[in-house]
Amino acid sequence: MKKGTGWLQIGICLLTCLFVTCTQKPEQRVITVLNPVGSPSPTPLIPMAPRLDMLEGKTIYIVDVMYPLTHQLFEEIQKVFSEKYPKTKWVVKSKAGTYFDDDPKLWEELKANAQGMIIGVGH
Amino acid sequence: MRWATVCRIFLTMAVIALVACAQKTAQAPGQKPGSGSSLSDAASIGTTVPTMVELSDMYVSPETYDLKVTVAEIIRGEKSMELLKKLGASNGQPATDSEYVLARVCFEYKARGAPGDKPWELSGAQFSAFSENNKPYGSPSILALQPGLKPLLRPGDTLECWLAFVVAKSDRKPVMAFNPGGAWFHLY
Amino acid sequence: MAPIVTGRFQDVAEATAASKGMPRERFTYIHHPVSNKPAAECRKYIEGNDPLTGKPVIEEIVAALTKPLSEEEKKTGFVEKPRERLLKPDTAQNLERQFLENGWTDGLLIALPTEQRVSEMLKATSHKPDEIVGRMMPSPAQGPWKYTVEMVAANAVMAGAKPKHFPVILALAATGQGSLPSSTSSMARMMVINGPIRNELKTNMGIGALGPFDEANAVLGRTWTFITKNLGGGGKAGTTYLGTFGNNYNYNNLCFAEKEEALPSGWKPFHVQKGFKQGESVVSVFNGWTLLNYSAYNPDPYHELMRRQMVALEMSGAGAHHTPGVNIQTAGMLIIDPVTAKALKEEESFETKEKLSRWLTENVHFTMWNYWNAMPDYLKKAKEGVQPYASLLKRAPESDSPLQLFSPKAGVEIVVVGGETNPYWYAGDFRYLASASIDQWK
Repeated sequence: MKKGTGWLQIGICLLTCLFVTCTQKPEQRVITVLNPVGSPSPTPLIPMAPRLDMLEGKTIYIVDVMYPLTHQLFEEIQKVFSEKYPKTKWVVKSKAGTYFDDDPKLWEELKANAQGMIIGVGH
Repeated sequence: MRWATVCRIFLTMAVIALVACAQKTAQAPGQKPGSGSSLSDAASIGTTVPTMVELSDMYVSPETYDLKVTVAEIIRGEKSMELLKKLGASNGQPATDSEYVLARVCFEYKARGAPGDKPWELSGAQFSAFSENNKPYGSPSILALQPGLKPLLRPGDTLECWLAFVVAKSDRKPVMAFNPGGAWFHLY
Repeated sequence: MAPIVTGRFQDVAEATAASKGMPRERFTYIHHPVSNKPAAECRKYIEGNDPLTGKPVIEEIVAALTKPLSEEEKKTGFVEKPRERLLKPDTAQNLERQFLENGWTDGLLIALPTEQRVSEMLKATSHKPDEIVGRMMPSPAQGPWKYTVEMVAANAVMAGAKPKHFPVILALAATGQGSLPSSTSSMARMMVINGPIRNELKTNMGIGALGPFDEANAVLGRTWTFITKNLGGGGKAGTTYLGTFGNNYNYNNLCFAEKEEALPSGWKPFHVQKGFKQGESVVSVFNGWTLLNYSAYNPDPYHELMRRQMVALEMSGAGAHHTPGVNIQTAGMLIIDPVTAKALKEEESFETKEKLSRWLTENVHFTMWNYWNAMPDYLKKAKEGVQPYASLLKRAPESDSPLQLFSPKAGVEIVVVGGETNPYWYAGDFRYLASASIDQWK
C-alpha cells in the first residue's frame, strides 16, 4: 500500500461525518430540554380501617360535612337505611362549623360510640 | 495492511463519537446526599433540613412559612429505658423485641414575607417512625422526656424538644418522617 | 368509612384522596347537584344508581362498609413519584407539540427550555439551581409540590422571560401562591410589583399598565401560569381546576407595578404599608374575581361613588347565595389612577390610603335584601320576632343593613397606577394574600 493512503482514508471518514452533520436541516436536529414539570411530595399511605363483618347490631354515623342546603340528603339516607337495615342504628350528625372546618370532637365521639361512618359532601 | 486500515477507520469513528458525547449535557445538579428531601435520602443526625409549611384561614391558597428541622441526638435501647423510667413508673417496657428511640429535635420557624403572622401548631401526630423497609411503627403512649413538644410556634421562634418512638430491636436503621413538612431523618 | 360525593366531582375526590395517602378510598357517587333539592328527590338519588358505575347506591355504600379489604387496600409505606431532570431528546417541533399536548403551556408558542437557555437564566440569581424555592398546593385539599430554582428557571424560559426578570419570578414562586385557584367560582389572581425593580425592568405603569403593552408585565404574568400548572400541580381541569367558566384575567394574572412616583404625599407605596422598606423591591399577590371600572368629574365626591359602586361587590364571586352563612364578608380593592388619587387627597381630605380604606370598610354595607341571604339564622330569628333582627324586616330591601361588606381584617387595599388620561378607578373584590422580597432572590 502506498504511503499516506491510511491517513487519506481517515480524512475521508472525517469529512463524511462532518458533511452528514452540517447538511442536517435545523428542524431535524435533535435537542435536549429540561423537564418543566415538578412532582408531588412523597405521600404516606394511610392503611384503610378493617371492615365490619356485618351491619346488624352496629351503630353507623351519617356525617354531613355541612355544604349549605344539603342536609336533607343525609336525613333521607338515614330514613332509607333505617327501613332497609332496621337492626342497625343509623345516626345523622352535622360536622361543626362550615364545610372548611375540622371537628375533632365529633371524631372522638364517633370512635367512642360508632363502628362505622357514611360521610358526604353534598354539592 | 488491511487490518491497519480498518483499525484507523474504527479509531477515527471512536474519536468522533467521544467528541459528540462530551458536548452532551453536563451532569444534573442533584441535591446533596442526605438532604432529607425523601425517604431514600433521609438526613443524618445533625443535618438541618429546611422545610416549608402552609397555613390558611380560608380555602383560598395558604401562606408559606419556613420551618427548619434538625434531629440533634438519638438515644435508644437501655439508656432510653433508664431515662423514661425516671419520669414515671407508667413508662413500662415496650413490646417484646421492641425498644424506645428518643430523638432530640430542634425547630426554627420563620415567616417568608408578609403577612407572616400565623403560628404553626406542632403535634406528635406530625412525626412518625418507619422501619428500614418502609413499614410504619405505631406511636408509644408514654410520658415524654422534657422539654417536650410545645404546641405553638410563632414566627421567629426556635424550639428544642424530645420525641419518642418505638422500633424493633433488630431494626438498626429506622427513619423519622415529618409531615406536612415533607422531611425525613435517620433515627440512628 | 363510606364516603359519598356527587358525581361531577369524581376526579377531584379521587385525586384528593390519593394525594392524602388514600388512593383506594371506596367512593360512592350520586346525582349532581344535591344543593337545595327537595327531600323526595334526594331519596330517589339514594334509592337509584351510582351515575358513574351504574350500581345501586345502597349496595355500594354497604360494600364500602363491609367488604373485606384487598391486599392493595392494606398497603402501607410511602408513594414517591420520581421525576427525570431532562426530557427524552427530540426535534424542536416534536417537543413543542409534546409540551402543548401535555398541558404544560397556555396554548401559545413557548421557548423550549434548553440547557443553554436555562443556564443563562440561572446567572441572574445567586441561589443554587438545586435550592428549594417553595411549595405550592394544587388545591387546598391536596399535598404540596416543591420546586427548585432550576425548575422555576425552565418555566421562566418557556414564558419568554429574560434573566433580568428572574428574581421577580423566584420571589413570586417563593410565596407558594398559584395563579389558578381550584375553586368552581373561576377565581383570578393579581400581582403587584413595588420598589426599584420596576424601573430596572421598565414595567409599564402608565397608559395601558394592565394591558398588553410591555414585555415585563407580559412575561411575569405568563410565567406565573406555567409555575402553577407545571410546578404546583394546579390548573388541571377536573382535578385541580374546577372553575366552571375560567377567568380571562388568568391569561396574564393582572400583573402590573404600582406607580409610586405618582402617589400623593402621605400615601405610602403598597409594600411599605405591608412592612417593607421603600427601597426594597417586593412582589405582592391578591385573589379575587371582579374589577368594576368607573370615572367621574361631577357632581358626587369620588369616595361616595366608590362606596355606592362597591356595594355591587356583595354579588361578586361566590357570595351569600352560593354558600349562605359561609363566605359572608369579602375583601375590597381599589386600583386608582394618579389623577383620582390626587383628588381624593387634596379635595376629599383622604391624607392617607389607610384613611380611605377605613372609611370604605366602615361605610360599605350589605343591602338588606342580601343580608338575609348572608345570615339565614338571623332571618329565622327575625321571623320569630327576636330583636334586634325583627325590626330589620321593616327596612327597605335596597337600604343598608348593619353588616359591613368588607371584613375589618381584610379591609380595602389601594394601589395607584395608570396613564393619568382621566380620573378613573377600578373597584374590585381582590383580597391581599402575601408579599415576598425580590432582592432576596438576586
